[in-house]
Amino acid sequence: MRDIMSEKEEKKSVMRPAAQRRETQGQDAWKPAASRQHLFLAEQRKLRTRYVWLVPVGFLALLLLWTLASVRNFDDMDLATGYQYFLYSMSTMNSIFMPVMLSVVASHLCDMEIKGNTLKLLYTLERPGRFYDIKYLFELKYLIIFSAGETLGLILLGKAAGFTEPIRPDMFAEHFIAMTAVGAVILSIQHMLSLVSDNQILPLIVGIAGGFLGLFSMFFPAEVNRLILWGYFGIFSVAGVDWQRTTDETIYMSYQPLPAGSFIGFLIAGALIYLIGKWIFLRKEV
Amino acid sequence: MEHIITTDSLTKRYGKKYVVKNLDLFVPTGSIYGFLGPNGAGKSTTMKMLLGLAKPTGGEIRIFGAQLEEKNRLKILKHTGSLIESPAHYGHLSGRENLQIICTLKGIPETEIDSVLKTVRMENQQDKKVKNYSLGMKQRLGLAAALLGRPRLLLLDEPTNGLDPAGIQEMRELICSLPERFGMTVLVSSHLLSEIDQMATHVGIINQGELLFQDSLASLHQHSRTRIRIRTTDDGRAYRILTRAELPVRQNTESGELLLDSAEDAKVLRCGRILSDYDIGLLRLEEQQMSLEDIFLKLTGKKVSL
Repeated sequence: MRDIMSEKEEKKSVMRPAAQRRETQGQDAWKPAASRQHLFLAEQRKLRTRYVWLVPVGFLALLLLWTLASVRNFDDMDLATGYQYFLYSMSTMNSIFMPVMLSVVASHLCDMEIKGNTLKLLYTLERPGRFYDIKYLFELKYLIIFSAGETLGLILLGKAAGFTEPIRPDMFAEHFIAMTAVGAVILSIQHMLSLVSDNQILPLIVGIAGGFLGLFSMFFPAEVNRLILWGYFGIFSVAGVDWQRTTDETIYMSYQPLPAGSFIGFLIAGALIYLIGKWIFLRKEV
Repeated sequence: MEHIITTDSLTKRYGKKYVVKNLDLFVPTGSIYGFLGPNGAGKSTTMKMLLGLAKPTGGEIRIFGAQLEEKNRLKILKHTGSLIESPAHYGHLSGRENLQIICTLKGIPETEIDSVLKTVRMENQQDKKVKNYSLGMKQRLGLAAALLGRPRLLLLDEPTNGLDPAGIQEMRELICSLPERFGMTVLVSSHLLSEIDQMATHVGIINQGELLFQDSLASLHQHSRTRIRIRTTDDGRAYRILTRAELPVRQNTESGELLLDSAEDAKVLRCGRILSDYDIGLLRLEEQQMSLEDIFLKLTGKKVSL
């Protein structure tokens, strides 16, 4: 031990700056382990035989069938406001189904890393932060498939059901943007929970509980509703019921464009939630 | 470069508890460095710090001559393979598909896969799903993943853990062959002294986060000094007389036997003459070598697993 200690001291004194520079220059010539393109490709390869796309497609099929069932009893007046009804009811259904769907997707993608104990290996090949981001983007892909499928599905269902109401592309675009944005923020929570939990039960419970909370929050006073993240599917619904005019016989519906100020505020808060989640994840040593 | 890894006062503390304390490691290039210590000694934490998986509380690490920092960590680790604790794997994919992912992440051609599979003798199991692998197979797959890209440095944390005797033997042979076949330096940790004894060229012994010994294995063997065990007709009197004669003698408190801490001919001869002069009968005179286990026990104060 003593010999080695003296050897170390000797080495320190003999090491010349020029030699150090040469070594450092040699290091700089090395390329980093993995490019972004490689990371995406690797993530894609991990999903082989996982069939994750079945989750959003399954949930989407369930929601659209449910919506289709409600169309059967539509009269002429309902057909004239059919798309407004679709957008309203889909926002409500999203509040309960989308958090569950997102928790399953996030769990599916993250659990393979936890079960396979892969983080220790991956962190020697890529930056933990980048791993976190790319995994999230992959989950986001399924959310976008779901939201786009839902928006397109509603238009096609309306056409098939013979809705007389003209299609408002702006409202459908806003619906797509709003549902995707709220879903993306919820997904960031599910993503963080799935990556830090050894057991995926917790994230799944949070997903289910969040769904119910979001649904019930629609009946809470507006101030309380705003505090519940899962309730924003309802808050940002682009169609609403005019409860003042609605009677037992007739439901009065109307379009309500996205409130730009609130929506931007929500996006900023969402980005903050994502960054906090990432910070929590990065603090955890593997 | 003489040393591929050097650490200077490397420290890791959780709260007030030191897991690794002022560690000065020197891993010679081209060696198989056995990092030995009982469970919980700080081996895994040290290896994690060497890979940048755990952040040191103090000290510095140099690998390939460059100081390991967050900004150059991946550049340095590109030339490093590792197997830390249990092997990483995607159970739903085959062994080959797992290696393809590593190739993609390392940015190396997949043509290397066949070669590493051959090295770890897993050509026949490559298409089987990893969830159906035994632990030994998973360990070998983990080693294959670490070998991808022909790294200059390999860090293996308890690679034989959980393997059956045949698997241990196979893994050991594999590790021993790496420096010669591929010019790699291997840092391998274990709590099994016998294992390190059979694999390593250099050894570092750690206990409670502190490095107790570090040198070549041959040097560790030199510590196993020979001593002479003496039994006489009156051990108590013999001890007093020999001590008075300033001979390096000790008495075992339990058995009463005497131990002469030297095997020098002159001292043994003097010892015999003195006993004879005082008319004490010599019953036994045995040469005794301190085993590695004894050294380990002496250094760590813990019984070693064998």
